[in-house]
Amino acid sequence: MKKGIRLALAGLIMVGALSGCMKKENPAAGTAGSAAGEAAKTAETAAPAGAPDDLNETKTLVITHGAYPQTLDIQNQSDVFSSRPAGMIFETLMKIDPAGNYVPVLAEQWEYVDDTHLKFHLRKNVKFHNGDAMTAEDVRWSLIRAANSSHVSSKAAFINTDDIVIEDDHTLIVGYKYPNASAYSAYSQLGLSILPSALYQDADTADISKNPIGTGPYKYVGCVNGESVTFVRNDEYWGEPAKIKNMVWKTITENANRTIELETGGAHFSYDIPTTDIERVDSDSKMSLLMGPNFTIQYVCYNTQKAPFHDVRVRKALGMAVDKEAIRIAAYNGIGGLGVGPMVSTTTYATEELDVADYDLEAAKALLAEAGYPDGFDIKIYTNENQARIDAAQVVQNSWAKIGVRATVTTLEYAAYYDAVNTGEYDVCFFGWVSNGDPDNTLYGLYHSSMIGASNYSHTDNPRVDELLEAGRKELDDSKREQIYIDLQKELVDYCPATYYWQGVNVYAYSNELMPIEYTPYNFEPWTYEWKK
Amino acid sequence: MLKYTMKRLVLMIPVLLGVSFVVFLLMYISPGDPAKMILGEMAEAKEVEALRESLGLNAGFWERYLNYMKDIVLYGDLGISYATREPVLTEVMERFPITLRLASSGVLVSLCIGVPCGIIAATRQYSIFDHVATVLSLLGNSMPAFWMGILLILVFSVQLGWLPSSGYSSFSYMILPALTLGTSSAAVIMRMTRSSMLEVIRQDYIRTARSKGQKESVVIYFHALKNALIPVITAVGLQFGMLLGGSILTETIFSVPGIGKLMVDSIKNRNYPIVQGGVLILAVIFSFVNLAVDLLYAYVDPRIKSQYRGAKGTLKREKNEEEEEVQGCRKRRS
Repeated sequence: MKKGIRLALAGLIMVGALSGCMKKENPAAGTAGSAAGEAAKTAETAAPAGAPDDLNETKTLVITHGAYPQTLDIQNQSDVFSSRPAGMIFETLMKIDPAGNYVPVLAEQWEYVDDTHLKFHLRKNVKFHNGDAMTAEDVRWSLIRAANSSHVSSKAAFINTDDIVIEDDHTLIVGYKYPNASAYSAYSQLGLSILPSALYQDADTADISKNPIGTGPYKYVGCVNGESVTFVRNDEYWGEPAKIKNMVWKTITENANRTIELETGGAHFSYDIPTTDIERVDSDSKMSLLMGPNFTIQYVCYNTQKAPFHDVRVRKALGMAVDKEAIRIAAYNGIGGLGVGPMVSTTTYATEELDVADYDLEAAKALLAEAGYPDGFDIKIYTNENQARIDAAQVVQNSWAKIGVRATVTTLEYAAYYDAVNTGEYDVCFFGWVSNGDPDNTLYGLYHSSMIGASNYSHTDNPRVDELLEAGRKELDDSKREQIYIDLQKELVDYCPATYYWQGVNVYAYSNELMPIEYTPYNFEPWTYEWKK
Repeated sequence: MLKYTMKRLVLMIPVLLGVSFVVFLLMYISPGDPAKMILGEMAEAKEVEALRESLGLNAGFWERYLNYMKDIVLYGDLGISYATREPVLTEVMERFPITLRLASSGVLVSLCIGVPCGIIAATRQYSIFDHVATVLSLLGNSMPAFWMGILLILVFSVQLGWLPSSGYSSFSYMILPALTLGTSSAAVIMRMTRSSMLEVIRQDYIRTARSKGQKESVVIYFHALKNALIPVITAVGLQFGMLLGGSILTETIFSVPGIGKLMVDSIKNRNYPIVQGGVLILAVIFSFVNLAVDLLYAYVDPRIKSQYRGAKGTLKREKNEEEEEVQGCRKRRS
């Protein structure tokens, strides 16, 4: 009997101990990976010879964000949690600098041969992490792969994959299916990164994700599946090498825990700090806040194909009854900007000279009566589990009740919500759109009729809008293009498929052990970070 | 015993079939399109449709279910993850040691708290110790894991700075999740130990041991405890099984990359193969843990072992008892 109990306890302890020993890491690229904490610890204790006091060589930078990357295959991702860490490994031909200009990365320079042909001159001293030199063939192969990838093909759809001509090892001409004014924006997106063609010729996406080889400032070391991804500096980098040698990207799902991890020194840079923690971070001498406008717009989206929202007067009346300032305070703790038109004010060609009606309940009531709804109607508002959107929906529900519109708020889990919105079963939904600052990227997906069932949530089917979107995409003359987008914004305000209530901000934070980091609405570049001496 | 084990193993088959069917059905009827979740918002309808076709999502329910079962039965293939394109078995088993480690640590914590507290509460019934232990077990049982977890983080990570708040790499990372998991189980084990102990210490052989003048500690720890722990073993086994499949909240709070977190992420992304395969693997593990507990129970309690001999053994035993009774009557008469 006694023996039995002992056996049971011993068994339990052994299982625990064994499972501890079984901790599996996912080594790749020939080196074993390690978890964030251990990596930090190991690196801190094992200083390389010759640089014992240099923190950049010894102390690991830990970056946290909200989800584990689904893949590190940069051309098969469509979420920031995959592209952020993969962006340490892979590089594009060009990128957008903090001032919004397109600057060279892997392409040294480029020029248009004609409206549909762009010539790239590639850098000559670029090597992939496996030691192979980057050539024009790698660029050709990568662009074709991107154009055929189900995840990023929409960004590379303008490329004529049969018309990419290699002139020499470092020069190639890329042909387009049509003139594309947003091509630079597309080339700057990580989905169009350059991969080693010889290595990946026969590899599938799982192989690439397990062994990602790019040209970037960091090399992939390994991962603890579901928890962290570890990187080490690429000492053969063509540009200025990363300052900090070791870096770990750690997943912390709970928003508040990311702040705590930063506060307790377990992390040094954290994405997406909850707005409720802003004051806490700001008042803590160990942390600094990084906050600034991004290209996110949050909006109330009307189902333009469904009664009574097919009537523009109804949509405008509802828009007039949205108290944007109340939403900003209730849902976003008073931060961010008030929405005006369909484009965030920092987006290229955004104009605020738009005829958007102010918050006016009496005028809204009158317009509803004119549309034939003097007593209002019953509607369903759909939103997903995003707390800020739920709060915003409740403010709107309250405002609309004052003009006789009786709304019920239905909150759905994201996949179900997305399904309901795409199939058009909703009346009104709450959505947000994150763009990269390019007007085509901002508006085409949301309002072109070909995108109904995808990202055209308002089911807008307006020939004039389609025409302007297509013209804006193809117009290469800057001033003509600007006019097209101004006209388009006016047209969209007039058609009113949505009411834009909030212009977003990014809220990030970093440890004061790091040198000051400058805010940018574009991708952050951790390879420029360094520890304070 | 072998026959009993075989019978239990055979009975697992319909249970697992049922589990696979229910999970498959639930995923089938749940709203949300995996192809859209994979491709993102900008994907055009034709791309989504092509992906649906390549994933086999356009086939009917029965066709998909039968194909799924055929692959499992014939090839032991649980499918491929939609997100990573890795085999489900690889993905789940990569996370399983982490969950196993967490559940084992949770059970150890619950044993360390539950058994001593249960003994004290029973031996000092209605004393202040008993009342405090009762209140603590009530608290432990009713406190949700997410609340307990956050509380522990605030105290031990933020205020005291002793332990890391999230992640998984070394022993120190497992302490707070194990405490969170172990607290609610400790309450169950404490109540079980208390009631079982109370029952045992009122039995005649304990009174006999005391009347022989043995020390109270010897009576409690050597005579009473070993019998009182028999039902506790069952409770611990069941708790262990439940912790293996039920540590989802704890794993999410502490960012422990175990099966629970994998399942939550997969449900959100409609990664059907991972959810179906993960639940099936957990069901198999849970069934084996239950079987192991039952066998262990028989091992430590010979009375139970005799019952496992089956109907034949039982009849034989009953016949012997009847014969003994008849012979006893005959002796009394003579």
